[in-house]
Amino acid sequence: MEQTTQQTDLVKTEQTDFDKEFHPNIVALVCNWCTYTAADLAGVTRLKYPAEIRMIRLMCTGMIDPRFIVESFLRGADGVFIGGCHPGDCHYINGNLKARLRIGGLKALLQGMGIEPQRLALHWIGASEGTEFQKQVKDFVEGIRELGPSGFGVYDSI
Amino acid sequence: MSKPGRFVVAGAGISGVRASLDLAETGHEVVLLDTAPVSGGILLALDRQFPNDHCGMCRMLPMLDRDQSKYFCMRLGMFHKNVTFMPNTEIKEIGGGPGDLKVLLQSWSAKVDPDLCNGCGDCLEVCPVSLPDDLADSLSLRKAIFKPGPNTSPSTLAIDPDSCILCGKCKEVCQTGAITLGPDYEQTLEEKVTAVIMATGVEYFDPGDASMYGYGKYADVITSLAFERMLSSSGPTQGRILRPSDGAPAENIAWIQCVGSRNLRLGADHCSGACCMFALKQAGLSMEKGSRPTIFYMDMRTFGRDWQKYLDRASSSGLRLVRCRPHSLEARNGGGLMLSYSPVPGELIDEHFDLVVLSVGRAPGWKGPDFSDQDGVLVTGGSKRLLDISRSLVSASSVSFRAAMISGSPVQAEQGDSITSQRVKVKSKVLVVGGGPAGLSASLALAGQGISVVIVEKNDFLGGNVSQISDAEARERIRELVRDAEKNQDIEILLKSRPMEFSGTTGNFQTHVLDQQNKGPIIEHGAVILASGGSQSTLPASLVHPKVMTVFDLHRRLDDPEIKEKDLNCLVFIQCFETRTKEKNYCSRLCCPTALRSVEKIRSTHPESRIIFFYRDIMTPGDLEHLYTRARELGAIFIPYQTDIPPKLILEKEQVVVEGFDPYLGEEVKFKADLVGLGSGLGPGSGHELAELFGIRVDREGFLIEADPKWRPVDSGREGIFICGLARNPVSLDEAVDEGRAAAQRAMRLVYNPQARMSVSTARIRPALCSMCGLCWTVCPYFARYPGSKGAMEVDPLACQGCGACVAICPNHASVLEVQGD
Repeated sequence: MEQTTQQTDLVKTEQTDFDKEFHPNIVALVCNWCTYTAADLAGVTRLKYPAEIRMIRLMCTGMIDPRFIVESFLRGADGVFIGGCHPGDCHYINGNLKARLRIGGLKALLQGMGIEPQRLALHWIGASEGTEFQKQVKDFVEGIRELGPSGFGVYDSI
Repeated sequence: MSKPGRFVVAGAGISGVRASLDLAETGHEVVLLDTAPVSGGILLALDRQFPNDHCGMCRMLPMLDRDQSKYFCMRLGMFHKNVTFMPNTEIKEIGGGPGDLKVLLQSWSAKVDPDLCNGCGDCLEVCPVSLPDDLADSLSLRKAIFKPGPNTSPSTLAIDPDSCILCGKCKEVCQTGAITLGPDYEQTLEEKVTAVIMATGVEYFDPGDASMYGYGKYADVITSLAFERMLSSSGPTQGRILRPSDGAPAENIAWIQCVGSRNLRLGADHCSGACCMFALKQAGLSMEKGSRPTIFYMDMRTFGRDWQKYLDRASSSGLRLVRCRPHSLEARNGGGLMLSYSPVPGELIDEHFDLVVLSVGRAPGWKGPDFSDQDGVLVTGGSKRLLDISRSLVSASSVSFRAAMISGSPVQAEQGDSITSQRVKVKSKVLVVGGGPAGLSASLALAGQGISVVIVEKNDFLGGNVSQISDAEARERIRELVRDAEKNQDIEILLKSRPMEFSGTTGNFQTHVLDQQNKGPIIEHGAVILASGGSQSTLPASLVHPKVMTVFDLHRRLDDPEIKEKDLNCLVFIQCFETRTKEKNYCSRLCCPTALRSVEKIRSTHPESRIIFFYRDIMTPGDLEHLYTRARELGAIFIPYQTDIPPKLILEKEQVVVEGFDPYLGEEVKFKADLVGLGSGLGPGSGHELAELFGIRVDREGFLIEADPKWRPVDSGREGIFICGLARNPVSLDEAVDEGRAAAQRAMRLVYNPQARMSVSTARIRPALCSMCGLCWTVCPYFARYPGSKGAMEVDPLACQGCGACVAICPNHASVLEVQGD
């Protein structure tokens, strides 16, 4: 919230620290039942987390097609954050395990494509873990900030 | 087609929520009330549950309306269009008769307007009153204005009227003007309802009252509820395990079981029924965070189906179990506590622990007027019996069905629904496999609601194997169930039959039932309830001897005049005989109570005979604890044994000798037994065959596995197939009847409306793109995919729950997930 206020102020004033900093494009694919609810909880308990993430709610991480991730990078994402239920806690029995398999495989491929595997992260965040959501998102965004722009976007930036 | 009923459910804990959802799902209206400002009860404090350490609460939400409700998580609150939640309310009076009750409700002012409060928390900073937080069981402090649930949404604050001093500071800082501190007002409201369900829950023992183990004096002695909050990331320590005295990380943690329960001095002759598992869970989770746990226990009561395995897992990963009740505890310089205990006679050990957790017992908690005797008032949950979550759900579903029966036949769901207009035709007929107590109670419940039922029973009689394992009273109850079922015109009974072929989609199944001549009808039905039961385990051939029998046989034989007149000098019971071991790793629940009941019977005819019990853990949860106390009063001798040195049976022609080791005497003991009862347990019947036929999961021992052990206890993993009774887990007669009714409730939800609504998000196949590779078939966790006749895969619309796994796996983009109204 603080950052958005600063951003609007930018229009009138000179460059601030915020503007000098690199703001990565982060796509977060989160499951409806656990991580999205945790994000909601983080919101209602007023925990601040970086404004750089763009959250996309899916029913289950098991429906994440690796193409979604590759497409995100092609369209200029600097990082893709995936949040699902803890193993065994999946609302759809085992969707999160399917996601883990796919993302494990995709990480190896990403390296071959020249994308640092750290740009793709998978975390288990339960519905009551608002603080965990905040921590993981913060850490991830910081990590991407240090890595810098991916430079992989071939289409228009998102 | 009748009018929907209207019900009041008192208590919005897990039982109340389940009962409300059940009624709401079948079209009834519910007023759910609680004296607290939020719904959820004890569950607000619990993050993860045994026996799988998962949260999973969302799984109990109705399949349809969860999509329409605003929130997807039960922790945020209770949302259903047919349920009105009334916080800060209690029942004052109930008048009238069943079917037409007049309930007087009294609400008190919330003082914070939920529509205006935005949960900013400015008032929390200015409130001058601090008091121990009930939710964290005094682990942390809260203000008189506080957030009643850690995760509730919207996060409206509430004022505790008992501690508020009306200073008005909160009102001054409130930016939205949500607070009104005027004089307390109480509002009364009369509701005309069909029935009232009381689910008022339990109260936890306060160890401070009896100044047990220095609770209240030493900061590092906390209750299990406080520890639960410590484990939670939304709790006061944000999931870190710390010593409350100095905030240092707690490594050595001790749990002391049975504090305030199983204690005759406190008048608590009952077992709380869940604390052993609760402590095991907490110990397991603390190990994940790097602590070293020790549990001091009396009997490790792992009486659920998977609970023994849970215990085994915990002990193999480093949990230490000590069987004894520690006698004293002292604070130590530099933090921590010194616990003194004596595990074997003559040995006193002092051990240092950073944190001591008291596993506090429970007792029914309702303090208001007792309405339970009134007609039309039904009681469920912890206020009736001390149950764990899954049993509470079963009991609540069973009671909600009984409540719905008062209102007469079921209602038709409204036809024109704005969001889910898509409907599927279903057959309103249910197939029940098994004519034992669970199957019969399910059938009678469904038939009572006008749904036709077909019972398939393999024997040539109804009633199942209950006669094997129960006493005369239980057999009479079963005969009554059988008579009712035989009289009922909606129930068709196929004896000496078995289901052979099963096909179709949810709501439209076809089952070919064959009799002994391999002939029989193909039954078209909407749902199936598997209640195939089980039987007592037979003894191995090496133990065939007239004086050796199972505890169930022995209990029945005690009625024989022959036995009554015979001299019985010594009877020996060996409990957990070849059960709770590697081969058969579950507790059968009924052997301990049955053997203990035998003691009373033996004493009435043979007051002088010796009664010896060799046992591992006596499993008498809840009020069954009386039996154990009574048996000890009657002079039965209890000798614990370990699995590595089990008591030995020496069979001779005329006599049986039992040899064992008594740890209290520290020496070998030998008994010449006139009768030996072996607690060899129960086992499921045709679990594996049924699981294969109906395509559901089964465990190694042959018990059918439910969709979720906690939240969906009678659903199989496949929609439309429900499981109950001994086929699912060892149960008593009462529990089997409850499970049957709970399964009927779940089946009812599916078939009561011939035009069933579809979930708002279901997968669809674009047939032109489908290449029938079958990947979606294998990946679907709900068996909602099958190869269709038109060269493309097809979706079972009622079974599909819209997870989208098929969308991600389909190489041709043929599978799409459609979410309506989003």
